[in-house]
Formats: sequence, C-alpha cells, structure tokens
Amino acid sequence: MSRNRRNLRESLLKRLIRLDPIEGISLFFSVLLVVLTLLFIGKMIIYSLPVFEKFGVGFIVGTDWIPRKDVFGALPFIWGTFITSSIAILFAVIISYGAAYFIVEIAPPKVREFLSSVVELIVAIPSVIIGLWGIFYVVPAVRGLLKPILSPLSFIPIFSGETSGYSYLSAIIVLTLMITPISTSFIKNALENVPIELKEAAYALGATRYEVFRVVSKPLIRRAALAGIILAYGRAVGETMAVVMVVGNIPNISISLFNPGYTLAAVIANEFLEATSVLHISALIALGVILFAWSLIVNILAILVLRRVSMR
Amino acid sequence: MLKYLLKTPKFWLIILMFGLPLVFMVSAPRAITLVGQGATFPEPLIIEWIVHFQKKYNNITVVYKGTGSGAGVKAILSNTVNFAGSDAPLKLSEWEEANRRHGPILHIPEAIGGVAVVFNIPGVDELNLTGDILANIYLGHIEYWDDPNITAINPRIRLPHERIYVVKRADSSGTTYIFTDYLSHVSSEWAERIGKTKAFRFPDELGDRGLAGYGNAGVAQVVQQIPYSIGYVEFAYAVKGELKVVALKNRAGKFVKPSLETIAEAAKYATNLPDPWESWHNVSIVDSPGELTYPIVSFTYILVYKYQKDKTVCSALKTWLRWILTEGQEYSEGLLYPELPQNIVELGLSAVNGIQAEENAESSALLVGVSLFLIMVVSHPRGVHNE
Amino acid sequence: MRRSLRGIIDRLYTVFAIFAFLVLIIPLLHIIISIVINGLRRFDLELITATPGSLLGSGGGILHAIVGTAMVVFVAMLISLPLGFFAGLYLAEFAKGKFAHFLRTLISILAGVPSIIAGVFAYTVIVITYGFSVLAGGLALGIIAIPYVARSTEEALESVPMEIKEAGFSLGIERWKIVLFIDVGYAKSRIIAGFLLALARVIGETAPLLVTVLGGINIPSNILSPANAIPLVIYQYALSPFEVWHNIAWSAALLLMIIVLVLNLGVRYYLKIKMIY
Repeated sequence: MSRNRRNLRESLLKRLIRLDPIEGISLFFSVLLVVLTLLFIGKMIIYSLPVFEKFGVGFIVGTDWIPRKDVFGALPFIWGTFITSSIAILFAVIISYGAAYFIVEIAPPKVREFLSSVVELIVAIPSVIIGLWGIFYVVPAVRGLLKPILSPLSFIPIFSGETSGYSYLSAIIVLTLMITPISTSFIKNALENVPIELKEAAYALGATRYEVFRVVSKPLIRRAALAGIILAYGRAVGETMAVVMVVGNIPNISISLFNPGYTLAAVIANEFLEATSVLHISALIALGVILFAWSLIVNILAILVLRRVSMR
Repeated sequence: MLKYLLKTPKFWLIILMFGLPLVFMVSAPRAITLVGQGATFPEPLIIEWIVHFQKKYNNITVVYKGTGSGAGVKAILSNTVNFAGSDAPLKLSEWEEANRRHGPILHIPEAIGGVAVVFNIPGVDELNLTGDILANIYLGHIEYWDDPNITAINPRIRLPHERIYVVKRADSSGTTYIFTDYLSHVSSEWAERIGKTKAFRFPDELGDRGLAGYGNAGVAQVVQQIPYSIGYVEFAYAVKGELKVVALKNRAGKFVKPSLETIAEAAKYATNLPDPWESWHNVSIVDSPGELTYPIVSFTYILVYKYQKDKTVCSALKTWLRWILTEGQEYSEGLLYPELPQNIVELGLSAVNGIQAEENAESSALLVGVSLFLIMVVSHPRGVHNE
Repeated sequence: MRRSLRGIIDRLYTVFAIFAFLVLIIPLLHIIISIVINGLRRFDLELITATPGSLLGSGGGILHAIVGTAMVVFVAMLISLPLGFFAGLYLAEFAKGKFAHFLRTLISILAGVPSIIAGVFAYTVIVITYGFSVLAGGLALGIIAIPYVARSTEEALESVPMEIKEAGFSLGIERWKIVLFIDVGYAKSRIIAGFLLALARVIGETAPLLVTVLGGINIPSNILSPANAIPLVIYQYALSPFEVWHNIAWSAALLLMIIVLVLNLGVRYYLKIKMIY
C-alpha cells in the first residue's frame, strides 16, 4: 500500500478513536441517513431503466400513454405538470406581492401578526382536504360559473371547449391557493426586515407608499422573495392529492385550460397499484424520476440564483 | 455516558413511550388478508359484504379495489391478487394463459346486475330508446336529441335541439363489455366495427362529443354534471346517483326500465352454463327473450385459481367465497342486485369446494427424485468397485 | 410625474393589494366554513368509535383509520426522529467541511422528494417482500419527515448562544456533556416543537399511503398488517359515489383539521411559554 493511502487510513482511524459517544452516535445516524438516501435514489433509477431501454429518449417526448398495449410516453404528464405549476406560480407571485404589501404596509400593525398567521394556516391544511373542497366546490364552480363567464372569450384557445369542471383550470386554482401562502410569508417577512431608515428617507423625499415599496423595498427583498417563490414552485410541481382529485386524469396534451389533463404526480398515484406489467411499473417509476429531477433542478437553480443575487 | 443515561428517569420514559407500543405492534396476531381487485360493477355489493363478513370473521381481512374488470383480469393473470372481479368472462386466450401460468381458473358468478342507460336532459324525465338507436348514438350517427329517430318513439316528450354528449368508460371495463355485447347483438354495424370489448375508442364521427369517466362512479358523475349527456352504468349507480334511466326496447318489443324484477327475469334464461373450471367466454345473457326482461343484464364473476399455494389463505378464501354465495346474498336485493338463482349458487359452491392448497408440484418431484436416488445408492451392490 | 398621477397609482396599488389579500383569504374562509358545515353532519361519537358499517345505514365510522393513522405516524416518528435529530445534531455541533456539506445537500434532496415517490420507494422495499403494511406506510412518511426534523434540530441548536457553551467549556465539562445537556437542554423546547411540527406535517399526507398501506376496513394490530388512515379514507370516500360516504369524508376532514390545528397552535403556544424564561 502506498504511503499516502496508509497515512489517510491512519488519520481517519485516529479521528474515529477521538470521537466522543455523542459524536459517534450522531455520525452513525448521519451516515445511515446518507446510505438510505443514496439507496433510495439508486433504486429509483434502476427500476426506471427498463422503460428507457425500450423507448430511449423517446419516452420523454412520447405523447401516447396506453398501458394495455405497453406503450408509454411521458409528454402528456410533463405538459400537465408544466402548465399547472407555471400558471399557478404566476398567479402566486402576483397575489403574494399584493397580499404581503397589504399585511405590512396597509393593515394596522397590531393585526399584522394575526393576519400572517391566518395566511400561514392555509399551508397547514392537508392537501387531501383541499382536494375534497376542490371536488365539491371548485369543479362545479369552474363548470357552472367560470365557463359561462368566460364563454365570450372562447375563441381564445386557452378558453375553448366544453368542460365537466375537471380540468387544468381547477388544478391551477387549488394549486394557487396552496402555494401562494408560502411565497407570501417569505415576502412578508422580508418586507418587515427592510431597515426603517431607508423607507423614511424615501418618504422624506416625498415618495408615495407604493413608490417606497417599488424603489426601496422590492430590490432589497429580492433574495428572500426569490427563495419563497422557488419553494412555492417546487411545492406545486410535486403536489399530488389536490391535483389528482380535480384535474380529470386524462393523458392528453391540450391548450385549453378547460380540458381535463394529467400530471406526473397524479398518474403515479392513480396507476401504480394497478400496473401489472413490469414495463408499466418501470414507466411510472421513470415518471417519478423525472418528477424528482424536476424539483431537484428547481432547488439547484434556487441555490445558484440566490448566490448570484446576494453577490450584487 | 451510558451509565448516566441509564439512571435518568426521563431516558426510561422515552424508551417506554416508544418501546412499549413497538413491542405490541410486533407481537400482536395478524389477520389473514385477502386482496381482490377488479370490476366496479359489483363494488357496492362487495363493500357491503366485506362489512358484514368481517363482523363475523374478524381474523380475516378482505380488501377489494374497484379498478375495472380489465385491471382485475390482468391482476389475476399475474397472480398478484387472491381473487379478481370481472363482469366479462375471460376471453379464450386469457383463459388459456391463466391455465398455463397458474393452473385451472374458476369462474364463480357472484351476482347479477343490469347496465342502465342513463341520461341527463334538463326537463326530461322519461326516455324510450331502441338498441339500434343507442348504437347509432354511440357510433356518432345521431347528433341531436331531437333527431327524428328518437322523437318517433317518444311522442309525448319534447326533446331539445341540443347535441348529445356521449360518455363511455375510460378504463378497461366489464360494464363496457356487457354494454358492447348488447350493442353487437342489436346493431350489425356495431358488431362489425367495434364488437364486444372491455374498451373501445370513440368513432371519429363523434368529434368532441365523446367523454369518458373512470369506473362506474366516474361515468355516473360525468352524466350527473354534463347536461345533454348519455352514458351507461351499473344499475345501482344509476339509482344512488339519482340519474334518469332510459326504457330500452327488449326482444319482445316492450320498453323496459331496469329494476330488480326485470333484471332477475334475464337470469331465468341462463341455461347451459359451463362448469366453473371450463371457459365461459361464450356465456351471455344480454337481450334475453321475455316480456318483462330488461335487455342489458349479465353475471359478474369472481375469478380464482383452483390451486392455492398457502393453506391458511386457501381456507380463508373458501370461507369468504362460501359466505358470499350463501349469507351474502341476503344483502344483494337491498343494494339492487337480484339474488342469484339457487342452481347458480350450487354451481358456485361446488367450485369453491374444489379449491385446494396445492402440494408444490416441483417439490414433490424433487422429493421423488431424491428418494429414488437414495434408494439406488443404498441398494447398489457392494463390491462393484472392486472390479 | 405629476403629483396627482403618482397619488392615483399609489391608491390603485392599495386597491390591488387589498384585492390580492382577499383573493387569498376568502377561499380559506370558504374551505373552513364548508368543512365545518358539511363536517358537522356526521361529527358524532359513532365516527370515532365505530368501524365502517352498512352502506344502507349511516356508513359507520372511521375508527379503523384513526388507529391506522396513529400506528403509521408512530412508526414514521420512530424512523425519522433518531435519524433526523442526530443528523441535525451532527450538522450543528460536529460538522466539518466536506461531509457536512454533503449531508446538508442530501437533506435538501430528501426535502424535495415528492411524497408519492417516497411511497413508491417504501413499496419497493417493504411491500414487495412483506406486503402492504403499517411498516411500509411508516417508512414512507418517515422519509418525508426526516428533513423537517433535521433542519429544525439544526436551527434550534445553532440558536444556542455562544456564552452558554463557553461557560460550560470554562467549567471543564466534557464535550459530550456540553452538547447533550447544555445545547440540547437549552434548545429542547424548539427541538420538540420541530418534532411536533414534523408530525403535524405527515399526519395529513395521503399520497405515500396510497401505495403502501392498502386501505381496507380492518383495525390493524400488527406492524405488518395492512391499514387505513384518516387522510386516505377521506380520499377514498370523497371519490366514491355514495352520499353516506361523502358525509363521513367531510367529518373526517373536520377531525383531521382539528388535530392539525391543535398541533400547530399547540406548538406555537408551547414555544411562547417556554421562551418567556
């Protein structure tokens, strides 16, 4: 054995011997956790290989999902996840800024704590309960209220077609409701931490409340706001229950928000127990890997962007 | 450090708080679990059966998932469930595959049900249809509710000039099989183009008027919610969902709505049934004769293998199957499934009696082989190797 | 810009902000009100003492799901508390360079695992060999809970003021005693709060249970028995066509909401009390 390797072994051994019991236990569990996680990732990847072997990259862009013929394509679900989370986060951002502004700037300071607790309460509601509410209230509302109201606009592709209420739109509504509080509380906390002197300086110069917000606060909270938005987006991408209960569960790719759709998380939840061909299970796990990778990329993006933003 | 911890009362409290329940959970007796999967057609009845069965036999846990007959058939073919429910009997090819893979498979009729044709036309409560018209609606040839074909047989009803939304099952379904079996009987175009099947694609003529729901419950929901729609669901779902039901013209020429009586009538014409271990792919009681008969009726089957691997599972399975054929039938009519005729119950019971835990064929062959070898070794004449 | 125009813009944004806040709050109120109104229908003793009953009657209760939830969450905590706590402890107290960074990254990865995937993993590890069980469900929920426990433990320990630690060192106390008694002792309430919040988080999870516990009507007795759980039974009943079950679903939702609320508010109250001194 070379001298370097021997030295490394000796120093590692020395370190291990010097461990006190608490550190030892902590290290043990931490390593166990690492092993568990790696096992997890490894297993998922291995199980997803068969379907990639059969369809190659075509699996990701494949548009047909016909389990009984062993035909699998991920695109309808990638599309569904994409369109529902993207529009939901778009709404969430707009609403978050407004709601946070309201809580911090407009509402009387005494009720601020209470109001933000109320907003955070939404996050605590289990998603299956939001789905329950979605089935009995959102879906009929989309069918009976939104569709008639928006029917003059039905020449626009995203508003066209008939609907049973189970649609991308219903999914977007519940998702928006679930993720907005996340970004709202991040933005609200950040707004509260803006140094009061800066704001007062701006007021002294004659700025309106909105202008102070736009010119002083917004740039300062950029980092926290971004973190909140990215966290909210990650939640939207991975959300299963509320979506599966209202989205219609039909694997097609359509532009109209009134059409039923399917997302990655929803199809795995629905079909996993009924899949009896190995290829079907592999396809579902592959969808899971895609979903997992999606949220991973979002998280990595978050870290990178935040690093850049804080360097300014 | 350990010595110190051992003396702390809080440490022991934590150990007890977590350890005691854990010990209990690991040592408590386990119930035998039977898992079934398949048709949503009989699901309400099976749910009711499970509730009462488990009250009597609380060491047997039965779980049934309504995933559609197609998924049930796939599950039993790959032997991932103890029993499957299907409204459609196995196709000949499926039956042969089952036999090849896991041995003889039994068809045990568990209930009879009718497929109701449901519709949602605001302001209209009654509707007559013939099988031929129904087929044409599903083929897309009839587009509006006030089509002359329909108004001709509904003289006293004002039908609106609205497009018909046609609902089918999105999943592979025995209910679809029964429905398409009927349509194939009454419409030659349907028999040619689509035939009897657990799943079919809407013909292009339907355009965007075609909708789909998952499970009987899904179709019921769609029809409930979409005005001017028509669909097919198992009768109990129509009643529970308070859906309006079509009166279909039966073979005798009468317009009949599904009910316990009209559905039970069809069962009288179920003669010449095969033995449970034979193939049932030709069995069909749709469009049966008789004035009172409702035309879209079928058995729904439990599919189970004759040879079971595990002894305890085997006897639990037999207990369950015997119960649903005898005591379980008490609950059928309350849920709008007619009781099985006695001759069919006996057919089923004879099949259940034949279920046995198999001696593993391979291991007994191995046993025989090893014994023969040992006998040969022991009886080999000594002194041979001295030659 | 002219002064009046700027004023108008300010007022417009104020209106928008109020509107945005209402858009968020009104659905929340609607959800809570509908849960209460719909849920009160079956919010009776039978709900929590009976197992499912006849469809022709009231449908029975969800005792089986309550027991199932208790057992599954228990197993989840059994798995996630040691792993999460010690990982958090290690990161806060003993972290060095590469391994710490690696561990933290891994915890972030775990935090981003979609809940259904945790269920699929538990399926491949446990269900395939031992069948649908409380153990499989507990493993899935445990995986989801670990990042919460680890992060809150780490944050709690890092909030321990240096002076207290230094006082300990200056008294010559061994390292492990300082960590165990002083740091953990100081942060104990926050750590326990972290445990309870993780519990509150996983008690409402449904997706991983869909593929791990089977969801029958039996009351589980053994860790390898199949089971049902409150959020799962809400899902099953909501999707069914039976009105009897819809009523139970709403009442179960009310029950679940109360449990989650009590946990969340309880934690907040507990922290406030503990923080006073």
